[in-house]
Amino acid sequence: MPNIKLQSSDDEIFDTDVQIAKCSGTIKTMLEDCGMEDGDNAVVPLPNVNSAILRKVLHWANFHKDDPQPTEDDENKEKRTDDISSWDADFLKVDQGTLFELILAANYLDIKGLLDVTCKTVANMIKGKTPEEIRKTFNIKNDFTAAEEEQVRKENEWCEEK
Amino acid sequence: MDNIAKVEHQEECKEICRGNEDEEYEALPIVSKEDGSSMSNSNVDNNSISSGYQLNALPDEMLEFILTYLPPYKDLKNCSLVCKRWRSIVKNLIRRSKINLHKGLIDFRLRWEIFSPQSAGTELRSCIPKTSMYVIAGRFSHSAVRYGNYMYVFGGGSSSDTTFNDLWRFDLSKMHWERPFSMGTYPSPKGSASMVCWQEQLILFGGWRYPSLHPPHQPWCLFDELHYYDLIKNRWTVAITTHGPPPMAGHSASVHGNIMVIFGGYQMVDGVNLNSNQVWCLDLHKQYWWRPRLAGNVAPPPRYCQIQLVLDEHHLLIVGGCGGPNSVFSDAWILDMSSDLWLWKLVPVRNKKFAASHMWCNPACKIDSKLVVLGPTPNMPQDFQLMRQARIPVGAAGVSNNRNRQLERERWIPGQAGNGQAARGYAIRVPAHNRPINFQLDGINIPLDGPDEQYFAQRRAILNNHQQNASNNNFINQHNNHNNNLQPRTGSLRNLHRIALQHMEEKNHNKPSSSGALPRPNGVTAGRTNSESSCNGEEVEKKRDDTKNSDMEAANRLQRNLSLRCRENEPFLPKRFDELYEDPFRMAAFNVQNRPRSLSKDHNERIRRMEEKMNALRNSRRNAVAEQKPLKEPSPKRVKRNVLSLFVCDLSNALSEDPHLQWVEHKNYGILPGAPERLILSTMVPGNGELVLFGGVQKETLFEMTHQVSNSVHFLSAPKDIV
Repeated sequence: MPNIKLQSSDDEIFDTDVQIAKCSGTIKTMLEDCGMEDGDNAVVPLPNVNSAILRKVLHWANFHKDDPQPTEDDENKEKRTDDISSWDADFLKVDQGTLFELILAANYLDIKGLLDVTCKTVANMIKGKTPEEIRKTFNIKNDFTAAEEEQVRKENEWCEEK
Repeated sequence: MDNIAKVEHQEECKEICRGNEDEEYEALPIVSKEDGSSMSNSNVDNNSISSGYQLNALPDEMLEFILTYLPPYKDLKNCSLVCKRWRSIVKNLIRRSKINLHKGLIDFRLRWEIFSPQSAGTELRSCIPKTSMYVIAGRFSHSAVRYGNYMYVFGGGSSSDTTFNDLWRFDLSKMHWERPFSMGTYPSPKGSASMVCWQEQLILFGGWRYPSLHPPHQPWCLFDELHYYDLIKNRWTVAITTHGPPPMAGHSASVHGNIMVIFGGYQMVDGVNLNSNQVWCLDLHKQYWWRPRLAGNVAPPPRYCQIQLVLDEHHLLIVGGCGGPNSVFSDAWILDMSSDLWLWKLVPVRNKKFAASHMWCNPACKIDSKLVVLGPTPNMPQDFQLMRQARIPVGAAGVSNNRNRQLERERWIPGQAGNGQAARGYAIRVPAHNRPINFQLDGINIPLDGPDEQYFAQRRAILNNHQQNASNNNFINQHNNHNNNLQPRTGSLRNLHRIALQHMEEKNHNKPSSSGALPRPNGVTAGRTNSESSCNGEEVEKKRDDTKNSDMEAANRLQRNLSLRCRENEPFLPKRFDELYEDPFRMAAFNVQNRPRSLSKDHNERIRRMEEKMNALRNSRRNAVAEQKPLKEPSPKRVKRNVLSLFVCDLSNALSEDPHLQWVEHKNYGILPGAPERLILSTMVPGNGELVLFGGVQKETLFEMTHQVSNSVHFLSAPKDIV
């Protein structure tokens, strides 16, 4: 099984199986475009991902490497956000900073599954909370005046421009 | 101690940071850090990295993408109140979502998602109040209204010939059903009542009810009750009015200013049942009825179950409706209420070939300037010659069917049997042998060359023969027949057709050309010989289950082939479609459910046949196992059935200089991924950037003792785009 070397932003090299690395659309495209498929010496630089995060991403990719590709078939898709697997839920029991960095990394590396599950996790952290609770969870400052806040409460964006 | 000191320190830093704030968002020290070490040095450093990443440091697009995972109701509203930046992100999200839905309706690029209470997440969160663990019973002909974050549902017919009078609401944010605690004067159980929303109240009028079974021989009845439900106080009040409209059901209603305008319906006037084209108005404040004066002599033909929409405060639109057997309307009328004399205007409809059929028993709603209607999938071009032959109902079932229909109709129009009664009830003698009531809808008896009638007749023929053959132990099993590698079909599907065709020939109703038009594909003809010859020695009874399974697989594959073929942008298809298509039984061992299919360009004819056979097979199978099916919505993994198609009509020119409606050209016959199975008499309400469908009954099961009703909620929305 051919290996590939991934280099994080802080210059740490990760030796990974090519198939696992290819779960990332970005890496896959890079390899195919540069014809580096077989190169054992190939080092793919990933300047936007630091080593800690890259390690976690590879850990996730390794676990999910055998996942079937999501098919766009006619089966009834269920509408829910609580369908995060327990492994993923455990994997994502990290502090917020790591979580957000994982989101950015998944977006940069184009790993749909990881992006989906991390965003769902954050969405679940937002769901059901009042604005004040959301602010507290994510450490956001309220910059509305009372009047502005009242106005926002009243407006209904969905019904505008009727 | 340590923690308290840290918190205090952070508070101080927050103060300092706030003073230095120029930007809209801030990068404060993190709240939690796993190893508990103090981050005091980097508290005021806006460039803190590693675990110091903040949600607000994510770019706008990422944040917007995360927020698309939230239900676009209360949660999104709360997000817009968090801070100015979030508010603008939410604004963008809403705008984008509306545009996507709009575009999706035009391009037919939408998808369905299902929520069925049975399969909803079973995690018991303690924050869910007890009431939400109730599961709403499936129903049809109920009334539904969306208000804020909720979809309210009232009444309807049940799966077993009773009528509900319960009020439920579906929390669109939390995705669960609740039963509001209601006080006051409850309405009678009813279905097909009109319910509208006005000033935080629901107004419910009219309806019909199954007779109660005990004591026996109760009348079914039409209502003229008018109820208000106060959404804040959770209280029903009945409005006593005089000189109101006669009892009616299947009318339509809409609110214009402070008036509720109702139209049409199936009424009872002076002991006679008739369809109406009357307009009645209710002053919602003062609770009195009046009839408007109409100018001109033109009015829409009488009808019930039409679609009524608000165009603006002084104009309403009526589309479709049913005027009795063989009389389904697809016209459109505008009622101009701007002057003292109200005026009906017939509106020309363009692109009628893309119109929905059966715009009376299928749900519809208006979203922005579009009318969205669901309905049975239109026929593919190149009609099945086979289907055309089944014009006359086949077999004994057909004959008695007609007779039954007559009886049913009489029950539905009990006027003849009636004697002078109060508006509410009839003393009807319901013949004992007709119990339980098989509620027959007039419009079922549609023109014989309509698609449904064909399905019906075909299906009945096949079913009769199925049953007949099954009992004769004569069910042909082609499961292991490897001789048919070159034929497009193998096995019992072809056989079904052969049987059905024989049956039709026997009946000798068909035109002479029919026998020549029997199975067109050469392969099928040849295969018939094969199957006939090989049927003699087969012992089939114990293999019947295998046959059924392989039928299911075959039908399943057909469905996949078909839908994939019809879809335009399918990237993952192998080149050689034929190798899977030709002998599915050979492939049976591999369970090719998810195998991609190919994109051959020259199989249009075969698709049509596949579709036809598949539907015939599906329908016959469904009937055969109707008794064993559970009443709830089947789990998502089951074999696909006939689905509801989407139809969109553009209303933007309804009130222009050249008023007209225009149906949007559908793609893939309006079949969208995840489409719900075909049910009638469900409701659809507009949500936020999505459409919400609920309830309904399987039409074929209305003739049976227990109806297949649905309690699933289906959402139609644009697929999420990846950032």
